[in-house]
Amino acid sequence: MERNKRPRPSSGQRGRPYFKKKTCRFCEDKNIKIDYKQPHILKDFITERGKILPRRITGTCSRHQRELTIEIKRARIIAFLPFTVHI
Amino acid sequence: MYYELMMIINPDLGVDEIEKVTARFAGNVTKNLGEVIRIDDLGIKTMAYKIQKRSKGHYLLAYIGGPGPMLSEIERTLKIDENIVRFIIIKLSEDVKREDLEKAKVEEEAQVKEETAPEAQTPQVTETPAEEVDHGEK
Repeated sequence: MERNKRPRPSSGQRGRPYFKKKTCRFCEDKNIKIDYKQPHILKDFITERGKILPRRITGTCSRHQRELTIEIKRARIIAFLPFTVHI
Repeated sequence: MYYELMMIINPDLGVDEIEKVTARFAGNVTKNLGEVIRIDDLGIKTMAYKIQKRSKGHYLLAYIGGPGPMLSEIERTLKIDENIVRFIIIKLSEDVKREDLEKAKVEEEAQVKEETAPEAQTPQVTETPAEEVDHGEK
């Protein structure tokens, strides 16, 4: 997923790094439910090691990030998502 | 108040044994002044990590209603049952009605199928059960 990657700062005018504006996926599409029963959606918001990605990387708004963390933690309890991934 | 209860049971159980587990669970809920609205079988799935040295689990999803104090008793009995590997009880939003839970069944089944399908085909759900309604109100 493109938005999960930290945007590589490419230099714009005056050599200042240029970032692409990130938007909250759940605000853009109101039909997407944040639900622990749908781990395939939550998967985009965790790292390879199973950690929850911060807002500054995914661009999620604060309200949805709050819901997201709760649902990810529920999904972990019921073994839909891993607590940790050992590499 | 309505609650959503997801549980993982031993995947090696036969049909009648699963029946027994759910019957015992349902009996327990009614004994504690609650009611079982519906129980869905989500089938056997691979778990993200091993629980009790098993990598697969049989998932059941139940919706129950009743007074809050019944939950501690239900939790206690679920813990005793060896066939129940893990469970999670989630309190649904207060404005969830019984009818929402009853009719949500068809959608839920569609969702389960969707889980294997690519993420791009997110289902357009109009009647959202429970929590989502709650979050919208905030």
